[in-house]
Amino acid sequence: MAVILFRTFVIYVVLMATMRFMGKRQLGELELSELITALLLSEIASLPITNQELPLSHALLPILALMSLEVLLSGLLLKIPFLKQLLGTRPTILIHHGKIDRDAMRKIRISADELISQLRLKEVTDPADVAYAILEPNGQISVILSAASQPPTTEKLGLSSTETGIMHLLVEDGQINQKNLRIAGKDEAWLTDYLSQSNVKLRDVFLLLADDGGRVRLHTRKGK
Amino acid sequence: MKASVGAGILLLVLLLLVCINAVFVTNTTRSLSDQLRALPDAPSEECLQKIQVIEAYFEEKEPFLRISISFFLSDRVKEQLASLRLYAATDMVGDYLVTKALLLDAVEDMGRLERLRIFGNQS
Repeated sequence: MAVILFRTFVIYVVLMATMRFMGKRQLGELELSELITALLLSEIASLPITNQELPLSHALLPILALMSLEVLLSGLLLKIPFLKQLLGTRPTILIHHGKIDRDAMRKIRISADELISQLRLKEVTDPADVAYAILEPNGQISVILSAASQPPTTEKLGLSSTETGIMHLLVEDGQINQKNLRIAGKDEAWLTDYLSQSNVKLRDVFLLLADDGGRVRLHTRKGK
Repeated sequence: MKASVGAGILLLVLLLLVCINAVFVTNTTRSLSDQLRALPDAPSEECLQKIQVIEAYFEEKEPFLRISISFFLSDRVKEQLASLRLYAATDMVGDYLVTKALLLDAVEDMGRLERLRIFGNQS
């Protein structure tokens, strides 16, 4: 049992480092080579955990080799266009100015039902409203609406708006997040000043959020 | 780009380690095979001493072999070496010859995964 635990721990650490090194794309949006790597990794990683006759190197070597090949290949694809054409998948236009490209659909073996379903997921009910529907290399369909069908924006309506960005988490459970504080353009002096004005001690802060527009939201532990 | 360079270096290091391991395993299995083939066909006092030398050699190399070789294979060689010593000591000629042949086969199996011509160690 101790060996299984030890091997599980080693494989877990190596896989975590591998996936981290490969980047965030590996977690969700997989390209073909990434999918193959992910499938192989899951198979190989379980080998020495379930089969005690095999040395750890039988999993560690392929995991590290696959990781380095994958990272090296993705780097080469960026540098050498010929390789990108050879190994990479390219986006395919499925709808162009409201017209469905049947040849493209036949080529990539996607049915009209599937396309319509994907459009519905993007809250589009009529293909005629679509300027471009593109099947991306990661298998997702991106939809760009025609100008007439796009929702109005404050710019189009001629209204002024303030850029608020996102809410940054400045304090969580009394702990200051220095990185977010810097991103939000604040410092500890501002924080001390704000908390004293609010009559709240740092240790009583559950959440303190601030956006780029200057809005601040304070949530204390006592629900104040 | 840094990641790609790192990956390239890692790949080269892995290749180097694999090559070193292949040379080590191939040389060890070849040496074991040569020593086993040199054993006389009939058990004797000299034969027993030679088996003990082979056993000591294998025990010395075993921890390194187990880095890349299945434990089942290395255990098989260890057990058959012990059997061979027993048959040689008790003068059981038939069992001795069969075990010697099986042992040679087991040693060959240990080196099978590393037997690539590019290393120039093909047996």
